[in-house]
This record gives sequence, structure tokens and C-alpha cells, in this order.
Amino acid sequence: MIEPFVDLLFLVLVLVSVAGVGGAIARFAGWTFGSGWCDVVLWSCIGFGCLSMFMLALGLAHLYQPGILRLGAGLWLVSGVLFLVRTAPGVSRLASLPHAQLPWYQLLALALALTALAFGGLRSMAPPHGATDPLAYQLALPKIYLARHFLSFERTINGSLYPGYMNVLYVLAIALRGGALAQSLHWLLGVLSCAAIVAVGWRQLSLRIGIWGAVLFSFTPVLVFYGSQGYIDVGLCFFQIMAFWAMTEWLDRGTTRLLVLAALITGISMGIKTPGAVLLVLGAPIVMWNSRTEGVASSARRTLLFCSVAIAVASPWYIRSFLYSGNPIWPLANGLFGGLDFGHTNFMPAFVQEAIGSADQGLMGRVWGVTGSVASRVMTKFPSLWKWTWQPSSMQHMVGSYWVALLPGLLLVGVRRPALRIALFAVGFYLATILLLGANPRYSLLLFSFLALLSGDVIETILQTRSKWLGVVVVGGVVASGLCNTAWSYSLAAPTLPYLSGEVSREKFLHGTESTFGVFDYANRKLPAGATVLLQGLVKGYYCDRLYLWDHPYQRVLSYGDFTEIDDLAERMRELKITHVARSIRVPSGRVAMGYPQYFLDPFHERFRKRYLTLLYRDDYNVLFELRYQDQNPISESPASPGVLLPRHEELWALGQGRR
Amino acid sequence: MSKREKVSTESRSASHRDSGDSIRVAMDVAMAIWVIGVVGLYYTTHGYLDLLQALLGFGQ
Repeated sequence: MIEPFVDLLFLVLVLVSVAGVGGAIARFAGWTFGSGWCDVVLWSCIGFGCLSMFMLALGLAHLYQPGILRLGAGLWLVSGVLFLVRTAPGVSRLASLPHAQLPWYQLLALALALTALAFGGLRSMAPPHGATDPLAYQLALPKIYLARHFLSFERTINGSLYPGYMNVLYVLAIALRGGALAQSLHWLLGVLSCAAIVAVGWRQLSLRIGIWGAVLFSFTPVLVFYGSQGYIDVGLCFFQIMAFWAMTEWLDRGTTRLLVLAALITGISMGIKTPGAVLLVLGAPIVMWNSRTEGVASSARRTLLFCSVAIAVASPWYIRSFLYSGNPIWPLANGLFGGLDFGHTNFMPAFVQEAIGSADQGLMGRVWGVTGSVASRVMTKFPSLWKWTWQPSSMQHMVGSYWVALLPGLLLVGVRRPALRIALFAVGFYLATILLLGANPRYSLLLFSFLALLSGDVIETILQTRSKWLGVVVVGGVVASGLCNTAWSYSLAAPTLPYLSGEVSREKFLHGTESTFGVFDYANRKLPAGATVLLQGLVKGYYCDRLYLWDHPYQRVLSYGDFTEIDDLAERMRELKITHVARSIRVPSGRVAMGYPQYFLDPFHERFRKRYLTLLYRDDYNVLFELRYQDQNPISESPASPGVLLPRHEELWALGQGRR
Repeated sequence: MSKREKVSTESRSASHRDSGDSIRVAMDVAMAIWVIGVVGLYYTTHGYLDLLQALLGFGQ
């Protein structure tokens, strides 16, 4: 029962340390957003950004040692506390926020939102379970980095070379406490996103609009569902909101240091996820346009400054990817860059494929192709918001009802001048991210922060300028739906309550909620330290403490299609030093369609199993086999290397090179 | 301006005001119906009411 509270304490300490260090840096650089509340949000952003860059440097320098990480975290905490204590009078200006006169119904909506966020916080404090991506990439890779002590390239894991400013924060969280702290960190960034929306709304429009915006944003289902898990998207959203905010402050005040701040935060966004680069694409023309009165040279200089700072901050991730694979965004757009072999060459929008075109297409053919492709995409994707509201194809498309319900109110109340900037940014972001890149709502949370502020503006304008009863209907709708949303947040958190209250142990909780925990718990207890496990039909390797490989159909280290004889497959597995196989008993139909074998129904794999595999463990979901090669000399009996995970990526790399 | 013209102008502007008010009320009514419709339909078709019922113990 004590564990979740210790995690909570660590979360508070992390927040204190990043806010303090961020504050010291902001003070040094002269960055301020004008008031205590706004500055504390800014400090947190700067602190988290700097912590990410610090962790990146440690990872590149092979310094992911538990002692070094604890020492570093301790120094950050001491520095942060010292700064906060020294500036305590300034921090106390936070108290200015509650002095604002808020109507009772807004306080009620805010209380519901805070309750729902608190349920999300509780949910994040349970051990990671259920979700695929965190247990396959976002949390699994940091755990491997920790075991290897550096930012290694895991050739068989798809997301291994994605930019990772969030992942390195998870490295620290896992080193200090474990996956639950990493999830709580993601949740905290969601809370900070809401705080940033309040602050942006306050600065640009009014405090009440900012609070309405934060309330509506906090109820967005995609945020509620994913914000408490170890994804990275809410973190991306936080930095994007802050980059937008810094840009608006620069537009209002025009100082170069604010432009540099906007560029730095944009760079962090690009270093969290590649779609974060959309802010650079939108921001550069804005910088150029806004500086036009100062002359062409000055305008170009400012634009260059903005782009170069942002790219410099994000570039280590893309350079790392290029050095390992020959493709700065591997495995995305691999057909364009011709990087390390990967089973899927496209992973890029159709209009980019048209732009690349074929050799005999000619320039006009390509232009025509791109135009047609963009037009077709816009036509197809234009009604996305409507479709996501009524027929979301998955959880990551669930956006809730507020945007369809409230945004038509803009026709009623008009877009006031202060909101116009937000509306234009929202349209630009929608065009770039949704229509052109085809990103889903989970990747595009920034859009919903804009829509939340615009919807907040609609609510407040209706309350002030339209019929009283219309205001009652609108606010009643928000409060009633807030009750439903809070109930949903509670229902999501409810399964974790027995663990949080100490009624159920961590092991029992995970056995009941995470299908891969049983097989890996057994593997961690029984397999020798030098074992290498092949995951068949599984990608969630987070709970496996041994070296492991995926057999994902797109990776090119082990491709079943290359073998017609089971002995050849066994020989390849021997080359890869695979000693054990963890297999999903029933591979889901979606994965079979992707190219995974249904192993127990596949004659080739059945012959292989009968000849080479010995059952060690089984539960309802997975089995664990030992590989017995024909010479009866299992590799696991060879001298074990020190450490849990063997630093053998170079060998895998070399073996993979032959398959380019 | 003669008295008759003055009365006529006032009457016209009152008529415009009434017409403007009517449009304004009609738009407010339309917005209210829209908000109630969308929010109501969304929360009844996405399982939230069942969830609330289950949590509050109704219908069991």
C-alpha cells in the first residue's frame, strides 16, 4: 500500500525540481510570461525540457547507471528547491488566481474536471498494464536502455530510433521508481497541459475562458484514456501548447528572446515525436510574415533563427537515427531515404509518395499527382471531426461531443479578434496534421486544446451576450456531461483501487490485468541471465528482464519467409543466440493479417515446435519454450555474460546488415 | 421632419428591432436545440448512461 504513496512523493519531488531548475534558467535567460501562475507553468516546461536534454546527453555518453541517475536527480532537486525557496515571494503570486471571481457553475465544472483528473492520477499509479504501445515501445525501450546503460538501437523493435525526449524522462522515472512513476509523469504533463490552457486563455482572452477551455480539454476521452498510461502523446501536447504560447507572446511583445524560447520548445516537441515538426512548418511562415515590416533581410534572419534553434534542439535524435539506419526518421518514409531494410517502405502520406514519383513521371506528372492526392485527402479527411464524434473507429479516435456541440456557436457569437489567432492556428494545424498527414486524435491533442479554448470563448460569450436561458442550456450541458465524464474516469480507475489500497499485491494485480506478465514473470525467475527470448506474436516485452527480440513481420533480422526448411530456421536462431521462445497462443486476427503466423495452426511452425521446442510454461495467453538444438547443446548453457541484458546489439546489427 | 414622418420612422425602426430580436431568439433556440441534441445523443449512444446507472446502482 505504501508504494503508490512513495510514487506520488517522487512525482511531487520531480515537479519541484523541474519547476525550480526551469525557474532559475528562465530567470537567467529573461523569459517571463508576466505573472506568477503563468511563469510557474513556463518554468515546468523549461525544466522538463532541460531534464530531457540532460537525460539525452547521459544516454549518448553511456551513463545510464543507477547511481549516476540518482545523483543527478538529487542535484536537480537540491537546485530546484534552492531556487524556489529564494523566489518564494514571487511564487506566492500564484495566490492571485483564486481571487478571481468565478461563478458557482464554473467552479462546479472545474471541481468535476479536477475530480476526473484525480481519478486519472490514481489510475496512473498502478503498474503498467494492458496498453500495447507503452509495453512495446515507450516504456519497454527505456527499460532496455537502462539495462544496457545507453541509448541502444534495438533492431527488431520498430520504434527504437524514433525521437525520444519523453522516453528519456521515462528512463529516469523507471530508474528511480519504476513504470508507475513514468505513467504518473505522463499524467502530470496532462495536468500541466490543462494549467497551460488556463494560462494561455487568461493571457489571450480571459481567465474564465481559459478555465472553460481546460475543463473541456480535460474531459476529452482520448486524453482521459491515454493520459494515465505510459504513452508520449500528452507530453507532446504540453510542449506544443507551450511552444504556441511562447509564439503568441513573441507576436505580442516582439523580443528576440521570446522567439528563441518558442524555437527551443518547438525543438523539444520535434524531439518527442516526428509530427511535432508541424509546429515548425506552421511557425516559420508566421515568423516571416510578422517580421516583414523590418525588411526582407531581418525577416529572413528571424525565420532562420527560429528554424535553426528548433532543428538544433531536435537534431540529436534524427542524427542518431541516420547514423544507425541511414534514414533520419527510420523506419518512416524508408522508401524515400533508402535506410536499413524494413518490411514496410511507405509509412508516408500519399502526396509525398506522389512527389517522389517514378522516374518516367516527369515534373508535371508529379505536380498533377500531388495535387490530386492532396485534394482527395482533403475531401476524405475533411469530415474527420464529425466522424470521430459519432463513429470513432478506436479509442484513439474518441474526441467527445463538445466540439460538434459548441463550435457552431462561433456562427452565433462570431470569432472575436483575440480568439482569431487561436482559430487560425487551429485551422492551420487541422490542415497540416489531420488533412495532410492523416494523424489520428491521439497524435493531434494540440488541436483539441485550441478547440477547447474556442469552445470556452463560445460559452463565455453566450453567457455574456445572449439569452439567459441559452446560457443555462449550454452550461447545463457542460455540467451534466462533466458528471458522465467523471463517472467514466472513475470506472477506468476502479480496477486499480484494490492494488492502490493494498488489498491486492502487485503480482496478483498484474497476473489479473496484464496478459504478458505471467510468462515473463516465470522467465525472469527461471531463465539463466544469458538467455535470449524470441517473442512470437508478442510485442509487449516490458516485463521481460532478459534480452529479447521481436518477430514482427516488418523487422528483417528474422524473417520466416526466408526459410523453407525448419533446420535452416533453427540455424538462423542459433546465429541470433536465441535460447527461448515466448509465444502468443492465439495471435489476434489483426496481427495475422499483418503477416504474423498463427503459430499453432501453421504446419511449418508446428514441425519446428515438435523438433526443437520444449514447453517450460503456459497460461491462458502465452507459452514459453526452450530451444533444443540438434547437438543438444543449448546456448543458454554457454558461459553467461554479466548483466541481465547482454550488450549484443552490435552482433544483431552485423547480422542484420547482411539482409539490407 | 413632420409628426407623421417621425411616427413612421419610429415604427419602421421598431419593426426592424422586432425582426432583429426575432432572428436573435430563433438563433438562440436553434443553438439550444443543437447543444441539447448533440450532447444528449452523444451521451445516450456512447454508453455513459448505462455506466452511470451501473455506478449508481439503478436498474439492478
